[in-house]
Amino acid sequence: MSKSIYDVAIIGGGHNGLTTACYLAKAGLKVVVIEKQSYVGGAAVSREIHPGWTYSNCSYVCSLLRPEIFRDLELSKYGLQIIPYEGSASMLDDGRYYAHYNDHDLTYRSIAQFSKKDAEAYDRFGKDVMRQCKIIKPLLKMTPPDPTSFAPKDIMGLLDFAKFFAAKDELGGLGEKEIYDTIRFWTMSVRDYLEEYFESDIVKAHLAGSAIIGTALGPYSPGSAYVLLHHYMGEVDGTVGAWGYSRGGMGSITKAMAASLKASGGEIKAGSPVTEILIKNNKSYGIVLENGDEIYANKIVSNLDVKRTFLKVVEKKELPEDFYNAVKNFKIRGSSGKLNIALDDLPIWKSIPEGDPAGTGDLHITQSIEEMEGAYDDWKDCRWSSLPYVDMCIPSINDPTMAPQGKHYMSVFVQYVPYNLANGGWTEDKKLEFGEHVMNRIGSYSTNFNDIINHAEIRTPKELEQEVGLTEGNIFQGELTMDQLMFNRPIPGYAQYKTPIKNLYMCGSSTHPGGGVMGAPGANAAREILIDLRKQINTHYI
Amino acid sequence: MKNFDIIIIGAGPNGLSAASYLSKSGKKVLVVEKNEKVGGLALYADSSSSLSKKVIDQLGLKINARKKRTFVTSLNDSFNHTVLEIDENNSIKFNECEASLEDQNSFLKLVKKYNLFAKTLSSFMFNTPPRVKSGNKSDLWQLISMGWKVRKLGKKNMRELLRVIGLNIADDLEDNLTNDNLMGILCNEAVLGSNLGPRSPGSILTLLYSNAINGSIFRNNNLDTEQIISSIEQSCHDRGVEFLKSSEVKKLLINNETVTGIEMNDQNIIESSTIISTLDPKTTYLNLIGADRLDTDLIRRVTNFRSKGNVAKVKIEFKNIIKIKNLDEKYIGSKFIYAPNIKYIEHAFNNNKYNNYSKKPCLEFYIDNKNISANLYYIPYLKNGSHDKKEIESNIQLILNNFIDNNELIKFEIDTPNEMEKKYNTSGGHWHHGDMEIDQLLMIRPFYGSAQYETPINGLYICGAGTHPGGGITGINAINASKQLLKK
Repeated sequence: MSKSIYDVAIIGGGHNGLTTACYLAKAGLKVVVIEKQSYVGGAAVSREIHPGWTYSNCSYVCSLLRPEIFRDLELSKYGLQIIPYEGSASMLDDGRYYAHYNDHDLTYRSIAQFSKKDAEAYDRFGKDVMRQCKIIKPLLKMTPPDPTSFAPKDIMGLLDFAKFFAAKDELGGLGEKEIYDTIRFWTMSVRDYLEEYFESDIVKAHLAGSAIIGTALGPYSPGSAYVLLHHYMGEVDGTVGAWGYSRGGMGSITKAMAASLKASGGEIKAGSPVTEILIKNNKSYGIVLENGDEIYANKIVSNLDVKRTFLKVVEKKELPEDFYNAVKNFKIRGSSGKLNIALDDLPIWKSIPEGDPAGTGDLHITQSIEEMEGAYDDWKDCRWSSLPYVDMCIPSINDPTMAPQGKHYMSVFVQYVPYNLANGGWTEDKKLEFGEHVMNRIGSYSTNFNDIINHAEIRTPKELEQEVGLTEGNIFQGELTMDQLMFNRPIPGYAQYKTPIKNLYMCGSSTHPGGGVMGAPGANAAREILIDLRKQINTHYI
Repeated sequence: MKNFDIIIIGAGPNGLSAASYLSKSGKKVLVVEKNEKVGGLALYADSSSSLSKKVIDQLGLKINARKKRTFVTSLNDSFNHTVLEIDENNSIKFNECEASLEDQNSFLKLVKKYNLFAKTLSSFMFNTPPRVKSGNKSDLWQLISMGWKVRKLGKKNMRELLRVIGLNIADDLEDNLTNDNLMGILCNEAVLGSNLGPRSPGSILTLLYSNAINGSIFRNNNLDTEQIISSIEQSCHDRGVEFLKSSEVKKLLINNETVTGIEMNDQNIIESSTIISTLDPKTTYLNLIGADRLDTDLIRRVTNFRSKGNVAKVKIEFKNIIKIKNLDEKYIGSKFIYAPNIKYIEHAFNNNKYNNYSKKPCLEFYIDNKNISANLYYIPYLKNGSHDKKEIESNIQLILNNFIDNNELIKFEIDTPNEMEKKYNTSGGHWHHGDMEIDQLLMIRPFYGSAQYETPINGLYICGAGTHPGGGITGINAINASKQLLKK
């Protein structure tokens, strides 16, 4: 049995675990990342499941990766290249399409086709959302202060948080009106929010999509406007709110992180599922692998979601009863499905003309917010949506590494798909039926789609759970609702990356600021560990 | 025409309370009411438990001791009805209940938690909401004291409050209970009168808020509404308040951003430099003041104030005295609930989202001899088109026939939010003048610029349910607004 002592062992080689590892390795610590699969990446992976094609088989686009982390980990040096995409479009039943472009005027004209009033309102909308992004961004980096604590660290944190609200307007603080607008934005439904700006159904539907991705909410649910914000606050090349493709698929991000980690002296142990975290006297001191090996480390960091960590690899008797119950009640319901499709040719869309840049970006199938809400109603009853919201993209148009010459890879993201299917649960047949349902829906908007399908990989929340370890297939490692955000994430009182077990930390998206391929949870956790170790490093982020 | 210090538009409970309070302070008050009777939307409630003790004291009202509704009966499709008995101290006993002992104890624990949080919230009710960044010391002090009240709950409770304030009631119930009926009972308290479903974030806050306003989670400390209204009206008469009934205000007279009087539908003009509108915010701003006098931003805020009515009032008369199948006769005076489980309620709510009403709605009702008086939800306000009342009647008959033995429905009357809008000049027919959700409460109710009972028009105040603390027949809105007015 091998016996080596590390400074830090990180369970799970997803992008957050790798980020934590990189920062700690940079600080000179002896770090090892333990990953169950033979490859790292978690849900940010590129895999050749079908010969010749590379699938970003879970996450598919990049925007939220924090620029400071990008720089600190020198990811471009290790091959990471993000290609911003040109636009996005929604395809309509009646043969029209609605598109946004990087070019402001083109977007204006596109919106004006449906409503001139909305084209005018779009600028105002953009400005208001961007202002909210500016407010939120610094909060991403913060360790959430504990509002019930009188400890100096928490009081300072609360004051930091409050300064946005308290600062004089001239110093960049919010005016009274803006404060109320912010409170409203964080608590409203995206539908009500969009109704305040736009009149056209399709304009609203196109924008509302990012509010429902990965959630157990509908566009009419209070709190869904916040999710919109969550998806807007990324940037690509300095353009706030932009999205792009990672060249070579999302796996390039984590491969670059892995390379950066190795360059800083960190180790990765792949193909090693963890079965238990070793705890004695309320302190963690190591982990047990499936093959029986034990690895010892002064600090253990779990990149697994909070349920997987405390219900699967930590013994119940080690945990306070309240904490255990709170973890059991943590909401992590999966609602998304994914299809990865190998195409022999480029799809021809009935509504989008060839060569239109909108066809190279995000493609949505949605008619109205009402339809999206109906899709959510289906999910509440444990059925897949009869009219699902579909978010597609074809990265191979701009990234030739994803598919053979002339052929293409299409990523299809679907809302809503239940983790527990009514009437007997998921079976292979049901999965195929679901996949066909989605492909038929896509096919009805295209003249050749059904003929050019070479291969299709279908993923329900069950597959996400099994392969990636995301409990109930929730892509954010926990729902993004007020009761589970900020100082409530993942558990009130345990929102600062620490756990009831000494020397055991959490660094995954179950922690603040939540999911999306951000890296912020991982970097924040690293910062807390370094503070505990009284070590300092000098990077952009920490 | 006589000279009045203050004109109050609308003789609902807030209008009457304000009139009584202000005349007690020596002001000469005129109340103008469109209908023949006073009472406004409160007339839809046979009884109410929300009249604040402080208001009773401050107005010197003569009201008889409260008549508690002792029993809450939740009807079960398999006839295993749940009957809760509630005593003077709000303690709950399970007189009939098929839920396990464990479930019953969890239910009591949950109710205890909600009561604790409601108590904390209720301490915010009585004051004018502080402004968040007014630069005013008293506002800051009030904010700090609100924070302190929450902190006094202790770490564990404070954390739980901060967690559940944005949570939906269905999740909290499913985390703690298994019995459908018990869950349905609390869902009913949480969503009745709102445009939320059990799975909507914010539905615990509505439960806490209602609990705080009513002094009990089941809203069962009831006073007869007619007695409340006539008592407040009497106190007005005693103090020399004048009334002008059956008279509708056409618009406000405004000169240089200052109010100078009102113009009635019959062309009559009554002058005053201080006017209080108890009408809902949309009607006040868009009809009484008029959009042409308001800047775009304000019009936007008014229009965005959500006020879609969602409850219908139903009065049914049966041929014979009503008996409920499989229920002891001693419980006939219960508050009855038909909200059998979360899924049922959520489905009814789904329809409301699309401005439809479900064939299977939820009911909260009281039985009096041969009559039933019911709150029916969700029945949305319809901007276009009208409700098929015959269809609604047969849907309800189907539900009631299940539980009522050997009887025949002989009369069915329904007021949907559309009728409520017409009768009481309430835009959208919303009971509370507008949704009571976190983004429309406290200092954002009805919206920035109008949340401290004042308006951009000098001398014009607003204090109906569309202001803090919202709906319910509390009278607190009126007292707060009156205090604000007298300060000036």
